[in-house]
Amino acid sequence: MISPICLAALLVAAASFPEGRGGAQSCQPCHTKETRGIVRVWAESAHGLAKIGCAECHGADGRRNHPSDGSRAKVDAVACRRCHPRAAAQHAASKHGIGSRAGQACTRKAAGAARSEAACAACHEPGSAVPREQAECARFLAQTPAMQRQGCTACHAVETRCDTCHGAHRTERALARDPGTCATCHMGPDHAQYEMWKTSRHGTAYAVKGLAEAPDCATCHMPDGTHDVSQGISMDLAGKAYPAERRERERARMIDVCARCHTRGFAGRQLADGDAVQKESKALVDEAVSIVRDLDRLGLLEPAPASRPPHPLSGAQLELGPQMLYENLSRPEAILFRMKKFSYVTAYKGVFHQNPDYAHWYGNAPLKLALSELRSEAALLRKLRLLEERLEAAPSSGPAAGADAALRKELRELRERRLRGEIDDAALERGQRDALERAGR
Amino acid sequence: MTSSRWPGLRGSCAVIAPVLLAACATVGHSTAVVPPLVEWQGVPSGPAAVAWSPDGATLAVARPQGVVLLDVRSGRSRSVSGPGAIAVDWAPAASLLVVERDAAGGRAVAIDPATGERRVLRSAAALVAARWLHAEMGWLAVASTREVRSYGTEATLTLTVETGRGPAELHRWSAVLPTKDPAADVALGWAAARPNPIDHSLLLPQFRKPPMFPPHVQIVGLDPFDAQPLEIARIELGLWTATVTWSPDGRRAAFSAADGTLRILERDSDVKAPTGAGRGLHPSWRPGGDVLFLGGWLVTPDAAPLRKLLDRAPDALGFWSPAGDRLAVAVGGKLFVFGDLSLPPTDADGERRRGAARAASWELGSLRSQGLLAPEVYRERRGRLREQGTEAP
Repeated sequence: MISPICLAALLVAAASFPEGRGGAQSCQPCHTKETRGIVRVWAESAHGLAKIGCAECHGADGRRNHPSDGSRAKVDAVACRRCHPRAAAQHAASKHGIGSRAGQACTRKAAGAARSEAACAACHEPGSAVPREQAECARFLAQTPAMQRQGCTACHAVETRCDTCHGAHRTERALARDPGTCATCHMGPDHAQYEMWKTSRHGTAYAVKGLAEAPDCATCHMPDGTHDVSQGISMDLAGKAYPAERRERERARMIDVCARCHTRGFAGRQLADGDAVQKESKALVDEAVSIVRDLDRLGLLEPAPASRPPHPLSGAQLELGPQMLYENLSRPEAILFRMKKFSYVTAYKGVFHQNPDYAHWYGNAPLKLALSELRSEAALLRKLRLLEERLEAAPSSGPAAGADAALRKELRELRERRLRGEIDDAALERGQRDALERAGR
Repeated sequence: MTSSRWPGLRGSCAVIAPVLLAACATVGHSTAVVPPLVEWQGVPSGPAAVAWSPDGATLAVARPQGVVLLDVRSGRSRSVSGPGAIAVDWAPAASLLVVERDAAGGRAVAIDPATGERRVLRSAAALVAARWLHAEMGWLAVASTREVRSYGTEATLTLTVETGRGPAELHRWSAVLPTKDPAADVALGWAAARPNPIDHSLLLPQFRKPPMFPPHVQIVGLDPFDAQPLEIARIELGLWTATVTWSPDGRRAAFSAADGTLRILERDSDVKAPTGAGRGLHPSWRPGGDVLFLGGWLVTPDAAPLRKLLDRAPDALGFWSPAGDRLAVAVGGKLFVFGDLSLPPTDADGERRRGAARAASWELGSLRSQGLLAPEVYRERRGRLREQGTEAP
């Protein structure tokens, strides 16, 4: 904590912060005492050695740099862009930076945004803490503020903050480049790129021989120091297809990178296998989506979408798209979520990261096991419904009265045939329609 | 914007700043502008406190002293149930369905109005309203619980259906409401809900609150035979009670909340905020669907005022007689019965057509509830019956 006397002195000094490349000398009197580690790593950094002072990045607004709530004086990518325009432009063009322009991340960035009314209004109703309807990340909106900060924004700050990879004050390229930095976010069940690479031949060779003989993340994804980390990736987020021209262009870029160590033919075949696995795996997910939609149509999801707290963006309806939540789901939806968000992604990314075990046993196998489970669950739910309805069909039941006895008999026989597996759902429905027509209903 | 998701009933509606007419209702006393046939005191103004007999000659009124039957021609009255009546419904086959609540708890009771014979259908402390389903073939019950906490009121509403096989829960809503007022009426919208005149479905208003989304009233459609709730519409209002009522042809619904603005939810169309000046908290359709009672006025479905019946009555509840020739209004502890309203007779042929569709829809529902019809087949036929019930002969 900064002592009140020191803070007061700093605020007075802030009013006369030198412009341009200085400022460190105004901050140092307090910060060498209060945040000694920060000052030391800054002094050792390229910025420190080049006399790039505090105000250069943080600005000269002493009040803004010392928020009353005790939070950090964060530096936006805009500040870095002044001296690193090429890297900033490449970053903005990549998936790391694209969230800002697509508007899909507005609420995620709110925690770090300037506390101006305009910044608040990007995500909240004017003069209110109520999120605007156009907030576009349902999984973010469904979390507690603490989880939003620690579990969402901590990674997605990369959209507007360079220190996510480079660190706030050391800004050392070696640290930014270390695969452990990428691993902070690119790991775990939703996209285990770090684990895939580390346990692949690439990762093993890197561990033994280092960069001289093996690639790290940046070798393939930031070739020649580009900050466009999406360069060479031939599909959009979550395996969504690019237009053919873009796809070919990106694929050629990646093969150029691979060709520094491998033959082009070998690299092309490896990557084509990745494409094939992605398409095959996507077909399995599509089938799962169709099963869950069908269960919803039949009212077999428990809890039903309209019975649970509404989805923050879609409302009280089934949401299986990119905005699918993992809260309050029925079992079939939970199976689907794990399929699409974990196993599907792991299967094809495992191939692209040259890790057979991830591709097969952490991706392909769980994906197919889950689909089997889902098919079986759906069949059981349908059968359970039929049996449940048969049990309820006691002759004394109230609403049954008045219906035509012959019609009822025919419909009952159809149901029994369905239960015995003699007819499928489509034939059952056809039979029911015919029976109603014949009975003049 | 307000969104709606319902096959056949899509909607949108502009956000309208809430004008709390409820507050206005407490200022002054409602007085009749048109001379009423009957004026009574001591009538609670709950949405299920009054019911007409099938012949339109008698009113049943739920009062703390018990249900009173009032002959609107002679003005004579008699009691038919014990104390503590809070809701009443009157079936075409002549039975009364009364919800009573006293120190011993709550119960739903079927009463023969001719003999006074009572049959307790169910005992449950939290019952607030009950409605007959199709010619006494079943009944619906609304239960409401709430607890005032330091952070607001935890409220839960439950709708159960009884069709001879024991009560089955159809739907439940719960929320923490931003009020600590122990008298806050959280069940009004559900207690006021009546089955669709053709397909017996219900519309239930549910308040959804921030911070996950902007506050809105979600209108949920519920079919007693196909208990898969559907979101019909969302109306952006920070109010937790509202009234939604079906039009007599079952094609439209009128919605109003404490902001007093009438909205019409039309099948195959958008949610409309009519441009007329009529305002009120509880819209009530006249049989025939040409006129609504709203806030002391007769208005068109476009909210254009036709005739003023009462002064200072934005929260008045209207109850039309089956033939649409009489109107009972409960407001401010009084009951007014209006007779000569100079309205055209309702369409008897249309009512017969709707009655046939209603019966066929019930039969179809009974097949569905027994699992003899697949959901798709049931919904397709039900849609066809809706059309038959409303199309011209």
